[in-house]
Amino acid sequence: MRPATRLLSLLDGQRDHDAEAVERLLVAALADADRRWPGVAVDAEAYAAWVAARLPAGPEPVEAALAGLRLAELALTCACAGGSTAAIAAFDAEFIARDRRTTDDQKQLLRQKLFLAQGDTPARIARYGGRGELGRWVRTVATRIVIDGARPEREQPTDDDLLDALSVDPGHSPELAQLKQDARKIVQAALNGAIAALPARDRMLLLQYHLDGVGVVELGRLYDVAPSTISRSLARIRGGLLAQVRRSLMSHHKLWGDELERLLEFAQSQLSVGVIDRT
Amino acid sequence: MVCPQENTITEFVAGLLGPEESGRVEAHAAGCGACRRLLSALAKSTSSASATDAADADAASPRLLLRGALVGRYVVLETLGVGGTGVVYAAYDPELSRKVALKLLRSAAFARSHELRGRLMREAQALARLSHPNVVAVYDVGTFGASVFIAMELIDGVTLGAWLAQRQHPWRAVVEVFKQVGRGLAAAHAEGLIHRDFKPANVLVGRDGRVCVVDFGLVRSSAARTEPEVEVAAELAGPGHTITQAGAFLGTPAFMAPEQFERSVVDASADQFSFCVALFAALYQRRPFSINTREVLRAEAQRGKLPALPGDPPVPAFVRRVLERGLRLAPEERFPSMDALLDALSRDPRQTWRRGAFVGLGAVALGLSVVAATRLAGEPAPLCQGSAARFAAVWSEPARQAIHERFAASGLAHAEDDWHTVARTLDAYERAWSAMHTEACEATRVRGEQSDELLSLRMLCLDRRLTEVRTLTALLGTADADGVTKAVDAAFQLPSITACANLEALRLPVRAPEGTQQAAEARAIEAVLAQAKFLASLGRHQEGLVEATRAVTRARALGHPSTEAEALETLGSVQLQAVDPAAAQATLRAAYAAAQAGRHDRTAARAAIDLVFVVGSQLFQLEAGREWAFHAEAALARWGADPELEGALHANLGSLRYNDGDFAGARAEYAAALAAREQGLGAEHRQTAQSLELLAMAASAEGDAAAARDYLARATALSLRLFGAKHPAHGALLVRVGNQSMLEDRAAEAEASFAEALAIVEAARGPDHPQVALILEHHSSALRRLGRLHEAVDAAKRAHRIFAATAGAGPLAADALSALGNAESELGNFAAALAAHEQARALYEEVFGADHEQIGNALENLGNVFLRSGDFAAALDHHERALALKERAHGAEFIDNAFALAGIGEAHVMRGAPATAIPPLERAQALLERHQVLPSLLAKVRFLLARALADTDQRQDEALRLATSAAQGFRALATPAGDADAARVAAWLADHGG
Repeated sequence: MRPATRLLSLLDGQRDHDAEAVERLLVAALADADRRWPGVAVDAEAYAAWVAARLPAGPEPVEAALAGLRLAELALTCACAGGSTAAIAAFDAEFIARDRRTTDDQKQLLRQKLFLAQGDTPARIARYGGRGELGRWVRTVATRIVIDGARPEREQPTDDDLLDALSVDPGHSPELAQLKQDARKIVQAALNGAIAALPARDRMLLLQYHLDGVGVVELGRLYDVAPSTISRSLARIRGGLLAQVRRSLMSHHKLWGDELERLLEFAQSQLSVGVIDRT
Repeated sequence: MVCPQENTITEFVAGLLGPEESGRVEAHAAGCGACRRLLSALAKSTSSASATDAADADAASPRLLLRGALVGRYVVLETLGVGGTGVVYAAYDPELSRKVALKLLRSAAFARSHELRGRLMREAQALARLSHPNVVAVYDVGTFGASVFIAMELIDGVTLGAWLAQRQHPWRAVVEVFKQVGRGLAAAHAEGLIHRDFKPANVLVGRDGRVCVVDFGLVRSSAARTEPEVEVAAELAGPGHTITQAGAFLGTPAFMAPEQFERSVVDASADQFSFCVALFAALYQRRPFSINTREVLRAEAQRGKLPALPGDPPVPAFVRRVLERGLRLAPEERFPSMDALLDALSRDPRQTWRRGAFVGLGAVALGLSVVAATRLAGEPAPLCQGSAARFAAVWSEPARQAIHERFAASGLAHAEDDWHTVARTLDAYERAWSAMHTEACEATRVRGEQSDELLSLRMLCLDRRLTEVRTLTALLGTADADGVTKAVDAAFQLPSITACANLEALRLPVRAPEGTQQAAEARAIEAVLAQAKFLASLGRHQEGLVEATRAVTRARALGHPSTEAEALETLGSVQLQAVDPAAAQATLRAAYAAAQAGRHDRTAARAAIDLVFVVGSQLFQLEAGREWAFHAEAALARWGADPELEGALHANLGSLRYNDGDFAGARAEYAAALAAREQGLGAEHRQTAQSLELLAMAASAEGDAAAARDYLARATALSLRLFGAKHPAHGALLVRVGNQSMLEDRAAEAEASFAEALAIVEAARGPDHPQVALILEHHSSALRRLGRLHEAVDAAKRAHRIFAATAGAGPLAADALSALGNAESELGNFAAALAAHEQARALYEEVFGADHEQIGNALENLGNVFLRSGDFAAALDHHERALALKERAHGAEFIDNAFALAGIGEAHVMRGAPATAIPPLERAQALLERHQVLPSLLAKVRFLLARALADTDQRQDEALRLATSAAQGFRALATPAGDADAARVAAWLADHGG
């Protein structure tokens, strides 16, 4: 049976398609895979079923949907999932062994997750959807393994973590240290309330920048905006936070006058840190 | 909330997701730390290799610890140097009492990976096995936050680099030093350890001339070296770093062997190469290769020739040949081992110099200056900073709320007042604790006037205080009604903070147990002891006994005398509170012995002080009690000024003297206790109030009514501030005030006091509480004195009912019966009165035995009924027996004897034997005049004496004078009974020509 026939039969013929175009795409993908990973045999029928299961739903014809997928990489993962030693070796050489960012132990863990079924959970390799690059997908899985492995006991950053991350002593003075002790609780409460109330994107930016140490260039790339936009956003978020902290200090803590100003100055010192260095 | 799949995350990062889906991912990650970090990590890993990783650099940059900071068990003393891999501190090891060098390796990579940290630790542990005079000894490895620390031998000296820079050394001296270095490296190689970053900065030259290779944080075990090991090193430097940037971890480029640039497997010969680069530079003041890049190195080393040096310094050819071979590009062309190299280096064909002839090693080195110690400002030390938070974690808002709610739920009238006092007391404790914590920190860290060892001791002391607070607050959060009532007392049981400033005492040789496990067990036992102590002070004696007994068993198993002593002392003190004096005596004696054995003076003093009370005042063995006071004073003298203990000792001695009838002595002790407590605990302390009450009691017994009233007024004012007006403690004080009024025959005032006390205690503890019965009894006497006889009978009957229903209250029930008998007698119900008194006497006899002075009181009461009913012979018999018992108990001058003496005199007068009446009446008068109490009895005695004198025709003038003064005395009482008596005397006077 031609791969296209198999694939289309699995789709119940419900969807618009050009069988020939589908066949061309699949055959080309298999050829492409054979060139990239010589010696890896991919069973064409299994491959057709593999792709059918990962075809994004939608109104567009089958061949158009297929065009959006990384068909060659799906061929490799299909072979890996089928238990092909050659495929796994090729996969390992290209996507795992060369990664300098993971340690041996982490690599071993990654291999287990990707290629071994655990109980009822199928091997993770089957989860690759084919829309993103396979390399990046592996990277995501690996990073998640690393993060899970190093996952601290507390999932959420505590108030202290956040304040610590936000604060760098701008030159030590005993007065500030004292104020910091006094003010810490109050400012902390106000600041946390304000951070919790931020929209998701703003909160993400703030935490990623201050807590995870992601630079504005990288944040810009992640959110597909110019780094300067990130900088401006961060400035705006911090400004808003400060205003919120001021309101909170005045209304909930009944602070005003000198004391309020001192606390605000302190809160500001907590927020303004590092911005300049990291842009 | 399910985390997005890797597909979705990958597509998000690649920008493949639509706005709606992107929004979902963002919204999820904003609340999910793991996914946010995943996105952050992926965002960073997509950045180009040239982008510097600001966050990693930040995290890895050394933030210096300040003096006094704790790393593991080590106390930081000063910064010795800052290097690429971390910071080196001088530190103090309190466990082994020695100074160490503490290297703190910091890297963002450590923070990211526990595994990396673990691997580094294993490697450092391997180093610890190495013992060689030319290798710095590694003592200990551990983690500190995200960092790894290595504790090693502290060498007083300079780096080899600094030593070389000091001046031009003769080549022999240089070679000699390098031979020592080489021996160190050879020893490491023999253990399979490769240095990988050998350079002059990693060698220390000690003042004593000893040369040591250091900086083993980078050493890799050659046995385990595999490709991934190299990658680990790269990872340590942070992702995205080029290999040159990673140089800090892999080696220092200037000294690196060419194969290290290749990141291929390196072995001991790489160290050999680095060693030769360093030796070359030391001898020729220049490096063997022109520029330190891998290309130049490769090109120049390839030629196999060392640069020809114009005007060569006089370095002999054999040394130069060693260098040439050691600096070969191909590892296999170098010496087969470090030992072989050293061998060649020692084969000086001329042998013209003697080994060890060189000097100049130690003379120049002045202190350690690995790198100029730049102490970064900022970052207040974590030790100080955490203090307030640590207390706040124990005495937290939720804890306060829980306790407050618990108190409120008890429904007691005084619960709210109690809560306020407890909260205020703990707040004050928190302030004192934090102030002391800061002070202790600053004394070491800022002002540098206190040793680090002392700092540790003070912190330990403060830690123990915190454990007590934790225990108390936990118990208060589950307190029952009785616990709420006793909460204020318990709060004041917190040991004083000032003791943690008693530097002399802290230094005393009470050593924590050796070994971490044992020390942890000792701390655990301390927590159990705090639990026992507070259970007891909250009235839960049985539970307290169980806990304390458990602690004693564990302390015995631990085999640490001072812990055992503390456990025993606590158990004894709980037994004392539970009024089991025999058990308390045995336990406290054992505690005293154990404390002496463990040289724990404070515990010895406490045990002895408790024993003064148990033995002297609970077991009535006055001499033995005094003996313990003697021991207590000796232990206190050794321990040093401690107002808390001094106050307790004076108070217990006061009770001993009081029981001995030495009221003046008792008063002096109580006054000393008050002074010590006011000074040590402050004027607003529960124990200060207690001292005032005791002083009032002694002053009253001494007959100093004015002083007694004054003390009582002060105690009342203080008690109102501490407990509020609704607490039984206030009721108890009102009873004391009432008693004092009774003594002064101010029955109306007394009645008012008792009535108020009754209302308070009934509201606080319910109508059937024994304390209510006690007050009823006093109330009954006052009512009787006021002529409100039926009320007096009712009150006494009610008191008797309550006591009769209370187990173990036999003597109290007898007291109530006495009050009942007195009231019935005044009502003229003599049969009922005699029955009540007789029942009381039987009860007393049952409890105290036939010869106890209490029997005397019952006999007196019976005698008084007989007097009233006209059976004077019986009256005389009872009063005489009463007097005999009292004189036996307290001697001839005891004030209470006046009652029996007056009864005897009256009986004689009434049966018509006035001459026999005169001596006892004169004795009674003298006693009463001396003690200035009981004016009504005095008036009565004077009138009786006047009648006896008149009836015997003796001293008529004196008789008239006595009667006149009796009449005045009766009138001054300002009671109906007093007025009636005054009228009778006036009539008598009129009859006798007065």
